[in-house]
Amino acid sequence: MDAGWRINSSGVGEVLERGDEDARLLSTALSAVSVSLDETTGVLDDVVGAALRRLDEQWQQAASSVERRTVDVLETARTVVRDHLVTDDDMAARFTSGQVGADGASNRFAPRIAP
Amino acid sequence: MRMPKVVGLGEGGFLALDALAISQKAADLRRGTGRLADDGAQVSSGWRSLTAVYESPVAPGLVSAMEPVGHVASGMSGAMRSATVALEDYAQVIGSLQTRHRSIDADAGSLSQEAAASPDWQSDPLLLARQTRLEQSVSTLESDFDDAREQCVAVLDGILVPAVQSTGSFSSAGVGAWDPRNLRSVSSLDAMTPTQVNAWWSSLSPAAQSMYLMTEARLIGGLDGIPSAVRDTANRSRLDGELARLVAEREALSLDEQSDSQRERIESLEKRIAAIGSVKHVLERGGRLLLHLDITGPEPLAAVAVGDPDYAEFVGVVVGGKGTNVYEGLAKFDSSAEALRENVEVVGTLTEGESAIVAWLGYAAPPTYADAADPSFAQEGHSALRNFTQGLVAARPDGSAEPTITVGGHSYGALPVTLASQLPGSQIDNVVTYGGPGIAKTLSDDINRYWMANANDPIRGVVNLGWYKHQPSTGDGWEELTTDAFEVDGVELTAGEHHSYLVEGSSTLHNLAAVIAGRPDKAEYFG
Repeated sequence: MDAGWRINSSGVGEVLERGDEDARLLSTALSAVSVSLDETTGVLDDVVGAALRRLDEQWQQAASSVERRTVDVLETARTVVRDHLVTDDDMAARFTSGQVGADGASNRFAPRIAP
Repeated sequence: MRMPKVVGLGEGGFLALDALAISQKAADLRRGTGRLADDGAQVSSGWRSLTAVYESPVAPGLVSAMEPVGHVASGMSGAMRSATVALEDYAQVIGSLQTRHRSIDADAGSLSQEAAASPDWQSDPLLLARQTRLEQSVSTLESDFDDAREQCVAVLDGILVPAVQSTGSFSSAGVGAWDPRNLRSVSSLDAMTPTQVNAWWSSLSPAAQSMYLMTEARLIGGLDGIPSAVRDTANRSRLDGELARLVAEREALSLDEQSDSQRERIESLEKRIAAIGSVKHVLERGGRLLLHLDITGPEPLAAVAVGDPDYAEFVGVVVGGKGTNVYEGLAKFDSSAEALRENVEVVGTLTEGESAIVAWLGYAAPPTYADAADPSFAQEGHSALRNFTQGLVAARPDGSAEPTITVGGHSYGALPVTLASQLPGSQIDNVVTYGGPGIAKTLSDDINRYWMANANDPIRGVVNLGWYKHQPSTGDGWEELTTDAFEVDGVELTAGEHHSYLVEGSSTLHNLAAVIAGRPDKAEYFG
């Protein structure tokens, strides 16, 4: 196994699942603050209420950016890891059938996991 | 009798507010933001455990990409805590104002009672002074309310809620150029220039490159800017699968009663089956790179290199004319390319590897003489040829010099060749046409241009008919090379003829080889 290329697929699965759960909790917390902001605005006078609405607009943008980044990273990780696994499995199968030793090792597309 | 009145009493805006409700909502907000900071921190810190189970060049980038979530959530929480402090202060001031108002109201009631007991209270300086003080207190309530509101608004408006930046790379410095977002859709790759394609490909990890080779072999194989060896791998990987699929479909159709559309489909399938067979045949000759294979269009298209153009100093791209196709003509075309390369090495005194010749059948050539009057075949193919030459330059290894690219156009192939050389970004250095019916109007000044014409060539009939307006001329900087027989180093070369311009031992093969090898001085000129 090449140093720098290692994957524990079940471990990655667990990390991704935890990441999903953490992301859900974060999203819930962001939503709760949004609701709370809205309710707070409702008990204020027009002037302070307008200021809080302006803050709320900032808040919504920030919350979206956080959720977007979280989802992007998780989705990207899922894609990358899946591709890594698929590629390595496939390449391992391909290269162990006919190419061994130096022939396989010198090929730039040789597998990076032990077959 | 008029009773004393305290102006403004009972009219303050703060009286309509529920200080307790504001305070409670602010407290709710504070609790929510506290949880937010914890949850954001958990997302980032929990995600760091990815490195324990996944190691690759992209792993650090994936972890660092999640770090802003924790930081920003913490910053958002802090921003909202500032808001809650301001709101709680505001609620407290409101409550205080309301308490003070109740006190003033009680004093006003007391004043009224005393005034009721004193018919001439309006002459009583003490009572009048109390009335004035109460009115001043009421006025102060209003100004204090304005101040509190202004202060709260100033705090709220001054709060900046941080956000995760949407621009820039996921990956942190030091991770390398590989960015997980570099995983591209097929459509976005198609829209890239060859230089962009090469930069994208170079940025991918070996795993990602392999992934694309496995899942998008057709795309990668035809993508100008991808290294030639990779294109070859991608295109070759499809041959057996495509052939099996086509044969299976062909056999399934032959079992059924055949309609006209089925017969057309069978003809199309057989053309493709033959094309793949032809490609496989020339690849078996060895030393070839399959740079293009497209069997999706009306005509199967392909490009086969003899030698590796990514490492060659001199690259020739030969383009066929009327009737040139993959399924019937590739074998001969490839033989010509091989003979041409051998001659290039001899004429240029080059070692193996310094030159490469590509048999480019990347456009649908006109199938008949009548079709050869139609310039649309060339117009549809010329941008593909330009892109192909751009790809030859873009795909070279870092630090290597650009190759000298010569494009040779036979017969109708003179049209796409000269059209391609006119397009912006063309990487064509030399153009040679032989047996051509005509050329595109004008080539840019920095392109060397040569033509070879044989008076006995049947194509002269087309020229004489005036099907094509523009012909090469010395006035436009064209230099005419001979097609006649001549002797080189004691060897007699035969005259070039329309269907045999590139056969071994011909004068025309020698002349084209001399231009490709960067030695036009060794060519034999007309006249």
